[in-house]
Amino acid sequence: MSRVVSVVSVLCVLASCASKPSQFEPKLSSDSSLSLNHNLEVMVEEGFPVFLGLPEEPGSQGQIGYVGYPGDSAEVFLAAVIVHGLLETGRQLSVESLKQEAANSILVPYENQIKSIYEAIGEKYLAQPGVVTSDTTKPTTVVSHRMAKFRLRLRPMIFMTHDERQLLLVSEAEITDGTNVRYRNIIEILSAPISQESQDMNPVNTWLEDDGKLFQSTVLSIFEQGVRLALMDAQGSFSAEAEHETFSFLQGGRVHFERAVLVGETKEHVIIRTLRKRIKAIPAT
Amino acid sequence: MNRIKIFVLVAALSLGIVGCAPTITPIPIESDFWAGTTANIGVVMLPAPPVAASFPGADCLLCMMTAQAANGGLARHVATLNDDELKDFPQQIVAALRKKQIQAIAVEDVTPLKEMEKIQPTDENGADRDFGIYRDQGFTHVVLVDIGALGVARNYAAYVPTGDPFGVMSGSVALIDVANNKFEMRMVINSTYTTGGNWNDPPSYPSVTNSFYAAIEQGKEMVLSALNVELASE
Repeated sequence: MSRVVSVVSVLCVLASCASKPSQFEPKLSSDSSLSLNHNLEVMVEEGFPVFLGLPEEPGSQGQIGYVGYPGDSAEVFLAAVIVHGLLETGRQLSVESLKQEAANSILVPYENQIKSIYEAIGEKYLAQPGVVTSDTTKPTTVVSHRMAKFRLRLRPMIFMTHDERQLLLVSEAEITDGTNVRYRNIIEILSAPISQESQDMNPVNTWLEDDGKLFQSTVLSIFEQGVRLALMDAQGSFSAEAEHETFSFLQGGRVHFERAVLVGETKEHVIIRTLRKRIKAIPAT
Repeated sequence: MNRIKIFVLVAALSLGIVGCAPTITPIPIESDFWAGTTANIGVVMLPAPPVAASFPGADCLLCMMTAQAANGGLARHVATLNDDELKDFPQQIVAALRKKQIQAIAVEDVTPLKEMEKIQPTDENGADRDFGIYRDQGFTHVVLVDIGALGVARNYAAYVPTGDPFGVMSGSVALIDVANNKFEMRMVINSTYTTGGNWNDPPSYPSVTNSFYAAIEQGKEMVLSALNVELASE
């Protein structure tokens, strides 16, 4: 009996380690003194924005399935479990890495436009332009060009959906007063899908038409909206209490769902607060 | 002997919670079924089962104990979720049918299937229950939504989870001609929605909660799609 108890204990530990809690903890505020004036400077951390391809997510593909383990004894079961766990973890990591690499390849045609965007953002928010990279793990350094009472630091990541018809901004935003964090959250903005006159039409041509005007203006637009939404959230503009609803929106050609509270609307976007307290702007139609 | 009895009991309970999708032959609706029809539709939604967590694949007694122990927090959280999003669903189906100029009413006094007379199906499209009770109420057809499983599932290989939890809403939807108890349409609904990583966030489990409500919303769209109707804009 004690052997069974010990096996169950080990298995429980293994099973509970399968997913770690997320690290990011939002800190919300409703401070109206936080506004885009001489009191507050906005800056993008060095190395950002990062441009990435958004791999096709499984979304609704969870399926009820069964896999059997061999073994006539607790020891054999345990050995099979550990080996499976190790193999599965390694396999998942390598599959994820390959999927991300493949997803990033869709950004190759946009290299020149991305460089221009770095210059445009860099002139305003960075001391020196960042570098096009898919490496989000490298250490970042804050580049400051003036002193202010409050500082809004952004770590924007811009994803292109796998169908190449939408851009998604995911940006960490943090406001500090020099010593303390006053506000911290993640802002997500999903652009509306670009129009497709025919199924054969290559989205790259649409984005890059007219020297990449649409690509650049969309990136800069969602970036600027991200700054604005972060500030509005920090000021408490999105603190309205409302019932949770399930919102649906098209992302990468597939319908996604998000349980959230409606906190605002613009002509282009519906603004919601997700269950993780993030601010998310989804296309209005 | 007692151990065997306990095992059989727990296995039966577990299978009940998992609520395997019924094995039915799909009968898609004719593409022009609603065109010019004078049908009077009663929309019937059978009571949904309690929202619960299930662990398919954890089949042996020890496996079930392990899965339950390892996912205690998850199971407790799932039990706090509700199916309120389904309460208005019959009315939403009615609104979608009316958008197509079809006469329809949501039936509030629902008779459980087991209380309806069992009959011998006349052919493969025949129902095994007599829907005469709805014929007597003046309906020509009944839309029957039967949700068999609702909650969150996590696949197991005996003792070990093989993936993240995901929201589940499964069951079936049927359109029955109550004059002859024949299916005009019958489809399995199996809506699952993944948590998308970082799901293990007690106590509120936001990703798990999201996947549950997403599975419901997606399941509702599957039902409407099977009926070849669209949600009426509010």
